[in-house]
Amino acid sequence: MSTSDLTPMTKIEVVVASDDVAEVSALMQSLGARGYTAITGVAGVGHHGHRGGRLLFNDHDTLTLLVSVVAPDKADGIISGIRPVLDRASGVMFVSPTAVSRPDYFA
Amino acid sequence: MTTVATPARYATVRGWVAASARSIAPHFPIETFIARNPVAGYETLDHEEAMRRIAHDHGVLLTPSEERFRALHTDGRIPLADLVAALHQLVPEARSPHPIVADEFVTTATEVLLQDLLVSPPRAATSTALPTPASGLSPRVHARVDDLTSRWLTALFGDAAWSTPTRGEGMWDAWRRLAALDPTLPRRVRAGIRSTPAEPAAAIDVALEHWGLEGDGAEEFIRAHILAQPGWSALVRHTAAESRSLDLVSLVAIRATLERLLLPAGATLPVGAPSTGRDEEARLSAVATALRADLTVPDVRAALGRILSLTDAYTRLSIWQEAYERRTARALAPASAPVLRTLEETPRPLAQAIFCIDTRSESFRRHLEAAGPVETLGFAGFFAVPISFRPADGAPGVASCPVLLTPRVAVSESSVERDALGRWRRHRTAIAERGRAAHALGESTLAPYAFAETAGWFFGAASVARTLAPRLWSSVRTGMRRAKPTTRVDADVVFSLDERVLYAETALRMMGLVDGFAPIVLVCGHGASVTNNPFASGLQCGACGGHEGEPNARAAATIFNDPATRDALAERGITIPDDTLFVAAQMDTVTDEVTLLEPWAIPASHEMRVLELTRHLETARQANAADRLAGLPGADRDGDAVRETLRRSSDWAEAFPEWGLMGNAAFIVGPRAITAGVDLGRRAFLHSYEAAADPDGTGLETILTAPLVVAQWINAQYAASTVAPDRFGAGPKPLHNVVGTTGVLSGFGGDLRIGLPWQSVGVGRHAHHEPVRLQVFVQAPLARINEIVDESEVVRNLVVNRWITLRAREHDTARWMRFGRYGWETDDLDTTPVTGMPVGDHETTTKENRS
Repeated sequence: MSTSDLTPMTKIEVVVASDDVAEVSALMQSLGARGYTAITGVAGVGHHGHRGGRLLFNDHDTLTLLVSVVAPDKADGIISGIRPVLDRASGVMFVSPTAVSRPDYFA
Repeated sequence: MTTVATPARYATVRGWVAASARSIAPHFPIETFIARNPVAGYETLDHEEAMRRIAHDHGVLLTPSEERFRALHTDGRIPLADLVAALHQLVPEARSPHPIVADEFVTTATEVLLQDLLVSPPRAATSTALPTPASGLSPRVHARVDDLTSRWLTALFGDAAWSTPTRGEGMWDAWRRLAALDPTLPRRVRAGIRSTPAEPAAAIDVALEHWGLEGDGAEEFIRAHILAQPGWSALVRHTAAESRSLDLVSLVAIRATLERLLLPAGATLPVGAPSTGRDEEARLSAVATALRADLTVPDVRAALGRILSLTDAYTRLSIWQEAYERRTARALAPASAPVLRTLEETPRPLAQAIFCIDTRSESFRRHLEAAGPVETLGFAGFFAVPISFRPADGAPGVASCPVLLTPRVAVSESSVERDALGRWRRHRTAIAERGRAAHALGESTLAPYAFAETAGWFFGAASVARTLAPRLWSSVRTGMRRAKPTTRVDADVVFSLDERVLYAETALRMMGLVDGFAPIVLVCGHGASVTNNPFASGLQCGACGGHEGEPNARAAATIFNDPATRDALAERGITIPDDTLFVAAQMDTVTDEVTLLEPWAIPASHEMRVLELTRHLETARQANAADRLAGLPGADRDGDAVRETLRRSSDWAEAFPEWGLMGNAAFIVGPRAITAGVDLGRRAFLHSYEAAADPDGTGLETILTAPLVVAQWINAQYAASTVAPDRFGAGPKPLHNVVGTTGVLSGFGGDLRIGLPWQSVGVGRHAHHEPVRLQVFVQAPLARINEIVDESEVVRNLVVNRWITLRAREHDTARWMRFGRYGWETDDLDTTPVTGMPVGDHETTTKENRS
């Protein structure tokens, strides 16, 4: 299978506080995302300096990376919905083109 | 203005709702009541800026009023020296010792700002929350929208036996279907509901279009509706995380639709009154009068105006709050030890007793240490075992760990006495079924009449007995209960060896218990026996998710006694002697009774020692009960203290079974030696910590990112329930009307009450709780603390944004340093005069400046 056999999609990656995951994931799903992957305890360095990874006794204040792949026509809606949330809370969003082999899983 | 209704537009509306929802923290149902800062969403802001936004959004102050602060200053509770120290802390420009000369008038920045604090027109204590269109146009319609929404949500969340309004539909769909049939609504409104869009975000968008709102105005409109009834919004926010059929988008859509349809069709948004600048002129005039300065002289006016521009009403409140907290910090700060002292070898104690960090443990620990050779330690009451617990009676499992955590494993309670267990379980089930049946009968429409006719004689007599002789009633009930068979918990099985070792080592290193083990180590959780108290879970262990700490104490003791775990710990440098036995126990915070949870597991070799320990526990109980009763309203202080606590525990009319965590003010991390023997009045969370036992600092990181966070939640909720009881408190207990298992109303209707009942923070009209921010004292290397503050956003937000005050010192002989705006700075809590500050009372100072 070559990349030309794949179906173009849009990948939306959002890093938010774990406390906000339920709200953001509900928002994504209400706007047409069929699913998402959550990677908890992510770490890195950004606008607010260093952000630690996993905490032993606090799942609430770590960061989670939510990854969702949607049909390009749904991406604008999800981006519009998430932006006001990121205006009020710390977090980042990355949007990029991607391709999938099973488009019916995501459309 | 016209916007194009597209899926992207609805998505933006949903985003505005999600962003606005951060204005109120989720409300946990009262069955698992968890203390939390109701305005936690503002913690990303500096405390002063948050106060400004909260006053704008919620219409309340997050501190006592300026009038109250001034009265406390007059009474001596806030000394002038503390006020000046706070001023210098928050307004660095005021530290300048240089006089300001304007014409013939001579003053200092400190003096001007001090007079501003003392005489300027105070910021109004309360106003209204963010206005909705209806609240400005027609308060009657606004009240109607509140009432209709409240009735709808009460039916949705209550457990009325005769109504199930939603039939599994989404909240918005069910409301559209049923509200369109509501005969109490005008025909025009019902027709309007029938024609609303199927998508709730679209219905909100219709309202935004109707009022001509876009961007920030649209978000503010949505926030106003969310905050019109913050209790219901907080509950829906919590519920939405678990059930997709309930969400804030639907709630806002319902409110916005009702408002739009109930108001006259041609109504337009009211225009807010512009600021006139009169407040600033009044302020300038008040300060000038106090300083006897002549405002007609342009230079004097300009000089005063320039200095006053350094602060505003919220800065003043922030300074007052800081000044108010200094005396509390001074009273609770562990003292510095002398550098030269005799080090004596201490004999091996009879026992070490590990209690929860809960402030209520502080006095019990003090009395237990006085009663006998027992050392005590403080650790979060879930004892580092994040579990869900399945009790032996077959009741549903509960998450027995802080709400910050997801349970890692399910621990079950079981017994080898299968027949006895079966009988006991049937007995428990029968009692529970009887209770449920009686409750269902009481909630139904007609059955209560028949129920009263047939069973009223019995329940009437029982009610009289419960009222007149609560202790006797409780004893009879207890006596009728079937004895529970001996059980064990399977924590040593469900946790893998690696997990057992990880959690055991973490706990021991976090509290500095890595050597010198006593023959008995008591692992003592806590619970509270209360009767007829919807907020009972608020008195249980917060570290166990609002449940009793018994399962965690038993699980932890099981792990610590596990031979394989001990062998692995020894390889990691922690050798627990063979003759050390961990014993699980639970303290009842209402009666002060400590119960050993698995007495059958105590070997003969330790029987005498355990017997001796129980005698000391009983002595501590007597002393602590008397100590606590001295501060409880309505207590018979001359009688038997333990009997009185037993009455409070079983009396269904008792509004003050105990004080809970009232008075909490400090979080102290360090060895017990720095607080031992000091009466902290149950005001401090005490977490044991020895920097030497935690070489890589992970123990301290865990303390500051978990127990400290929970303590701040508790502290913030007690403060908010005290300073804004109508907004963030649950109101007086006698008025409580319980809604299902979710919360309470005050009387018949209105908003769901969040926060603590007034009887948790005050008596009569007077607040008993001092609303101070958490004063944190950590004895550990400063570099280690810096690293944690840098890397943990939650800790950094709390410290840098001044939601807590962090002080630290490396050793017990050092002075406390304070984490300030520019890093660590000396913080002389004894407050000596500083250059540039007035000496003596301000009247004297004024005269000096005039001469």
